[in-house]
Amino acid sequence: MGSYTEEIIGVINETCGEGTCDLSKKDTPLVEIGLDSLDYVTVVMALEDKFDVEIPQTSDNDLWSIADLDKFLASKVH
Amino acid sequence: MPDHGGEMPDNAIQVLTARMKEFADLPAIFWHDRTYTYDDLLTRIGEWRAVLDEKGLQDGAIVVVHADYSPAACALIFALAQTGAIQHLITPDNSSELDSQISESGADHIIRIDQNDDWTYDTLDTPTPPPLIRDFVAEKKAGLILFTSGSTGKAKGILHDMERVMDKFVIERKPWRTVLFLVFDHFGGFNTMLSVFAYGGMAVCLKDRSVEEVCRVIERTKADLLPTTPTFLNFLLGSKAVKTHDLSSIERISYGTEMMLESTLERLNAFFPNAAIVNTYGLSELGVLRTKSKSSDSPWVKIGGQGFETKIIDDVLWVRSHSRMVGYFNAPDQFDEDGWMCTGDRVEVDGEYVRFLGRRSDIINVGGQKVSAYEVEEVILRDPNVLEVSAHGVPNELLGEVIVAEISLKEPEDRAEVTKRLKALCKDNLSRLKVPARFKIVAAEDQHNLRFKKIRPVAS
Repeated sequence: MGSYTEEIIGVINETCGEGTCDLSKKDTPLVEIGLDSLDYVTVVMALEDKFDVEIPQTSDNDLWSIADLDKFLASKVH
Repeated sequence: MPDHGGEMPDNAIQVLTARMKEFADLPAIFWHDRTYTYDDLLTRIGEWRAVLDEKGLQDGAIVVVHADYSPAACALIFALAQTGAIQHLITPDNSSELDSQISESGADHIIRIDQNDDWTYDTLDTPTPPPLIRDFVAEKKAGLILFTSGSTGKAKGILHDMERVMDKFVIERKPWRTVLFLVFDHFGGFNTMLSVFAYGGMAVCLKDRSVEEVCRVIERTKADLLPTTPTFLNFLLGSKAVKTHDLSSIERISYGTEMMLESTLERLNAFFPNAAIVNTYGLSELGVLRTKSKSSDSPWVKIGGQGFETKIIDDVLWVRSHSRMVGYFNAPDQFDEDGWMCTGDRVEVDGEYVRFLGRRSDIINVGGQKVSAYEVEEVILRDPNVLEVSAHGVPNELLGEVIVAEISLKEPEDRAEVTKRLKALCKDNLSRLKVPARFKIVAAEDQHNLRFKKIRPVAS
């Protein structure tokens, strides 16, 4: 688990409700673990607010996974 | 019958002036805590006529009136109308736009009236007026130049025929002690001022448009009519001043220029149970239509009145008006060949009544589905610590747009706490699509413009 994984999971649960997403699949794009497009955008924006960083909607045209977001935040948040 | 001194007035400007003579010692203007009568106002008009004669300002002159409501400014409006000049109004609050407006209108004179009601006069070295104004000057008719607020792009310059503007006030109606809240250089404000003097009412001028000042002058003058905006009413209801001043003289609150949220209307009725709350509707291009609300707690209104026709095409209101502007002088005309103008205001219809749903631009397109910004704001305003809210769309590469709600709080609060609570409130009362993806806390004064009209950022 990366240093931001728990907080990312917390935001996903807050957005979608606990138990609605398969959070064990850390490398799978969020939209394939139970989030729809609206949840996805809301989670990305909530993480931006929480960590005060700008997060592109996609990472090199790939939709974010928990692991990708964790790496991104680790590189941006000081 | 009014005594016109043996001379029958043949136009609206003369009718209104003649009627003011009958009001003689009635209070006409409350300004800087002093009251001026109609006789005072008429004396000032006479003094201005002498000044205008001396400066050679007659029909055909294009004169900038750089002023706010005051005895001198109100008198100057009538004096210029009587001489047949074209007056271009601009308030000191909009001074930053003065040069650009003058260069577009081609005004060749300027009269500035300061905070002490003293005036100065200058000639202007400006380019030739645009063709629309040049043609109007040739007709030697009194005119009125105003600029739209430009909230959706470049400000448009509007030329009105003053006689047509004043004509609707020839039929006598009930006088009101009216708070001049709507600004001087905007059609709604100008229309309100004329309605005061046409019927023998009192124009209650404000030192500023703060809630405190509005409450103070209402208490002081026993004003009975407050024409304002829903945004200001939200601030008023959320203030302490509204509870510490006696506002019981208010018999009527009229609101327009933007959509009224039902939650605000409910609170307003609860706070002013004896006042009629009425929706007014007007556009700078068309004039102000007469409206009749179904009831004080209803957003449904009948609109129209003498000189106005309405029709609805694809849920959007179209209006044809006798008092319509002569035209824009810096933008293409917006009238069709039969004289109808598309207002851009969406309405719902129930028999003779309509309900305004906001402008097309108040629609946010989330994932291809249309969301009304007002519906979102309505819910967020239910939170007891939210003073004002503006919902708008921001571009999003996945969904087209997502909703961002900018909120102002009554009392400071932790952002994360507010966000969590408002998200829960929205989730409980709105479909998922309509829940804002982001809540931003902004200062209350950033939520509205100088006219107390909500600033809704436009998605770019």
